[in-house]
Parts: sequence; C-alpha cells; structure tokens
Amino acid sequence: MTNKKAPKNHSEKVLAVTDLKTSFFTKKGVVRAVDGVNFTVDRGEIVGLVGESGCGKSITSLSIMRLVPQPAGKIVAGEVLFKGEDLLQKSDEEMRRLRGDRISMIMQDPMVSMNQLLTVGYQLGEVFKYHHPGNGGSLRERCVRLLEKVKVPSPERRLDDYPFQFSGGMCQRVLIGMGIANNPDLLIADEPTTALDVTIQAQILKLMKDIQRDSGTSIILITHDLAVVAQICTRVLVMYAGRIVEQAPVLTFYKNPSHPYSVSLIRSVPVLGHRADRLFSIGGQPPNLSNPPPGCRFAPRCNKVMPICWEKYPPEISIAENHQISCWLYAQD
Amino acid sequence: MLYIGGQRKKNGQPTDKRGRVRPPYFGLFCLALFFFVVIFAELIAPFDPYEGNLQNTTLPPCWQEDGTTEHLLGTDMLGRDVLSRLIHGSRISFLISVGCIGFYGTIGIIVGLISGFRGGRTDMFIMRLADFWMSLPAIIVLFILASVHGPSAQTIILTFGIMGWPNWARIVRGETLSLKERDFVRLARVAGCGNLRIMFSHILPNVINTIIILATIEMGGIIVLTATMSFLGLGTQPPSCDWGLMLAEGRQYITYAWWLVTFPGVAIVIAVLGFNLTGDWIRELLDPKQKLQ
Repeated sequence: MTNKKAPKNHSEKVLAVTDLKTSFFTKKGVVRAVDGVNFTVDRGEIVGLVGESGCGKSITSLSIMRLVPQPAGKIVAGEVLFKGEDLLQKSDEEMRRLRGDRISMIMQDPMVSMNQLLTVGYQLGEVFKYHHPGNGGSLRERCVRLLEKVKVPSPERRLDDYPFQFSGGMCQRVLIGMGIANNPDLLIADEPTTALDVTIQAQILKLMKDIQRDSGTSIILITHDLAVVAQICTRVLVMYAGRIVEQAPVLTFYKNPSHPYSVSLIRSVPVLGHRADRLFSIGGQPPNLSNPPPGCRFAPRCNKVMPICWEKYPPEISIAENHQISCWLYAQD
Repeated sequence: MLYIGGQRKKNGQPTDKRGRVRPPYFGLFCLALFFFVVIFAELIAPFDPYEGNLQNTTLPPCWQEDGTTEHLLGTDMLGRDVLSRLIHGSRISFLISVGCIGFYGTIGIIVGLISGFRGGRTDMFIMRLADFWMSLPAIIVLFILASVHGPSAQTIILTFGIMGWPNWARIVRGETLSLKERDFVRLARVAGCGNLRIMFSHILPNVINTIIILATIEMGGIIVLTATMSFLGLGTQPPSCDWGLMLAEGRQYITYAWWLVTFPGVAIVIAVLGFNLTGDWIRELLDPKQKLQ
C-alpha cells in the first residue's frame, strides 16, 4: 500500500501548515470554514485528506493556493510554509509565478473547469507560456508530449479540439497534464475522480500514482472516498468541521482508527458481499460553522461522548509514531 | 414549445420544424439591401450626389407627371439626384454608427471587465460614475461639444463615444461578475495566468455573444440618433448627403416636394428595421438561456 520507491526523508518537508484559519464573512455572520488546521506533507508523499462535505477540505486546499473566493473569504491566521517560505506572506505576483510551476492543483469537475471557448491546446499551453518559456522545444511540442504523458490518444490532433469535444475522463487527463506540466513539488488534487465513472477512476488514480513515483511530486488528495485513499495514499488526514481530528499512516488508519469520527466513517463504508438492510450512518448533522459548539465539534454526534467533550476542545495527542488524534478519550490523566 | 393554431411558437415567435426561431427574412432582406448599397455605392448611384443641375430642380419621382426615368426618385431644390444622395448617405449612416459603437463599445467593454473583475471599491466607483453619466442628457453634451468642435460627423462619434459607455459597461460587468466565479477562471489562475490575461483571454470570449447582440440591436438606434442630430443641425453639415440632413433640408419644401422627406425617411426605416429584426434573431440564436428551453 505504501509507496516504497518514493524517497523517505522525513526531514524534508514540502509543506507545513500551522494553525491555518480561513473564514467567510457573510451577512449572517462569520463562517469559520477552516479553524486551526495543522499538518505537514513530506517530499514524495501522497496524503489523503478525507471528511464529509462542507468540512473545509476544499477551502484548506484553496487557502494553500491562495485562491480563496474573494472578497467574502479571507485567510485570518496561520502559516503555510512551502519549502520553508510562508506562502501567506507572498505578493500576488510571487504567488502567480509559483502556481502552475511549483504548486499545482487539479480541479474537481473537469468539464466546468475548462474554458469551453478556448482550445485544449491553448489552455494547456498557458502553463508553459508563463513558466520557463522556451525550455524543451516549441509550445506545441511540449503540449503534445504532455498529452502523451497523460495518455490522451492522438494528442497532435486533439490539441485543436475544444473541451466539449472531450469526454469527462479525457478532460480530467488534460487537467492532470496541466497540473504536472512543470513537475511541481506539490500537487493538490481536489476530488479528481468524483465526476468520473469507476473504471476511469482507476485509470486516473494509477496515472497520478505513476506521476508521483516518476517525479517525486508530493500530492494532497482530497476525497471523501475511503477506498481511493486506501488505494494510493501513504498517510491520511481526517477533517471534521474545519479541523483535523486524526492523522495516521494509511495502514494504521484502516486497522486501528482511533477517533470516534474515523471509526464511524470506516463503518459507514458498505462492505462488498455483506448485505445490510441499512447502511451505517452517523446520526445528526455537522455543526453550523458560523457558531460552532465550544467543546469538541463532534461531541453532539459522538457515541463515546464525555462531560469534558462539551467544555473544551481536545488537544492533539500522539498515540503512536505519526499518529495524532484530537480526542479526550486518549488524554492521559 | 406551444402549439398555437397548429403553428409551433417559441416566445411568441414562429419556429421551424426543429424548434429554432425562424430567420426574419424581411429583416435580413432589409439588411442585405443596406449593406449592398453601402458597399457598392459608387457603382450603383446613377449621379454624383453633390453635383446639381439647376435646370432640373425639384423633379418629382419617375412615376409622377413631369418625372423622368433619369432621376428615379426625383431631384431636390438644387437639382441633385435624390436616389444617388440616398445611396451615398447610407455610407455616412453606416460609418457613423460603426464608429460610435466601436468607440463606446470598446470603452464600455474594458470598463465593464475591470469593474466586474476587480470588484470592491473599484467596482463601486465605476458603477456610481456610470449612474451619474447616464443621468447626463446626451443632447446637451452634444450641443456643448458641437459649439466647441463645430458640428460634424466626428463630433457625433465623439459625443456618443463619451456618452454611450455606461450601458455596455453595466452589461459586461454583470456577465463578468458571474463568469469570474466559474471554475475555468480558477483553473487559469492555477496555471499561473495574471489578471489581464484572465480578463481578456478567458472572460472576454465568453462575453462576445452578448456584445454581438448588443451591437446589432444598438446599430438601429444609433442610425436614428445620428439622423436626429443631423436634422437638428448638430451633425453633418451641407452639402453632405446624410439622411437626417436630407430630411432637414427637405422639410421646408414638404408642401410641394413630398419626395424630399419621404425617401430619406423610408431609407432610415429600412436600415433600422433590418438591424432590429436581425438583432432579435441573433439574440435568440446566441442566448444560452433560450437553448435550455
């Protein structure tokens, strides 16, 4: 499951996010979509970021890219160290030069993410036009090579096609191509397979894994599909209501999930061959992020809730190497 | 789609078998006639529009008594051929309206893109300025400019150019506001595109539909306006053969030379009707909201 070929040098952190807080200022009040997130990504690692809809996964990734929708959204606090430099301190122009070059992103829905009025080649070419122009042959040659890399058939001809002439899977390949064009250090994939059917999904995941192996790119894979995580990730981050509640290596996570939320999450996955009348589901709704409860955010839905859970948010507790949880169950005393 | 009296209709307009709005054949014919005349003015005009023959003043059209087949639509008080003047006048109308729309359209598009894309204070400032601008009466501004620059075609273009942008800016801004939130803009950012690039290469092509519709529909309006200006003496000056000017000159002879005001009027109607009907049709064709129905 873990990727053995990737260089395992834990001192080399590509990304270190500390106490990241992103809020949306709406007429109904402040929504704290991301509320104190801490995590790191090592070189060559594929990190899975899981959680239910609206828990802040996408906003976390947009915050890293500095693409939070303006003017409602704002990064309020925190530090995003990318290879030792704080991205939040960078100017717009510096960020623009980083995007598509050192940090890249694959969008959720390939069909709406491409401009339908511009050819695929034109949009693909933009990644090269703004970063290292002139390297490695003409723009067109580079685009063709890129499409070959992501296995789009007859790339030379398809470059002049428009996105609506592509299928969903093909569009997603193009987006992945744009993402990896300049061999970035960090690639954020925001639910890259959600819009695709299962067979295409497998191909796309394999493609991403190959790319990570070949170029040593670190990948943050955002998904709510635990099967996908098990397939390609080395580490898992579980997010709930704007915070990370558990971080663990992927095998540990599936064998020994520790946070009550992670446990319920894994129980909710239907098992092939077992026919249950009702799928397991976590009762209740995630808290309203404009007015979160003072204690643990999962307390209202937790089956192991204790009095202290209602009062204070649990600290991050290390229960094994690389395995951190925010839960009072594991607090010693 | 409704079936009314056995005929397919969409938004009250007749459609063909495949549910598309039927082309406005009459409008297209008017427009074709207009463009034909604009392009081949020298070839089809039988006489020089500026040279009169004082022996043949105020000849009636050919089908009336005293009319000659030489001057099909008669001559004016200086003996100039009305048909030739109308044919050459089409060029003036066309050039002025294209000039106006090109001028204020460009300003409007750029201002609208910036306003919608930047948002915040910039947007606020530009839109309040647009509101203020729209409250200024164009005719007063034209009077002022005409008294400074002297009345001419350039003055008309300049005035409309200065006065016309807010409408376009508002529409383009509205489109930009929704387009800039779309995922493809985010993707362009991820690829490393800057603001200018996103505005002009990614958003602008998506606004072109609206721009084409606006331009065709406004052409008709501008032709009427320029004719009005010339009629008031604020536009082109004699001996120009602008349609509005021809109307103004013919007005005093209306009691005994009806053709001097009627034919320029008919010419204006044909051109405006052509642009308006075609504009409506293009809107039906290009409007994505209509396609969803």
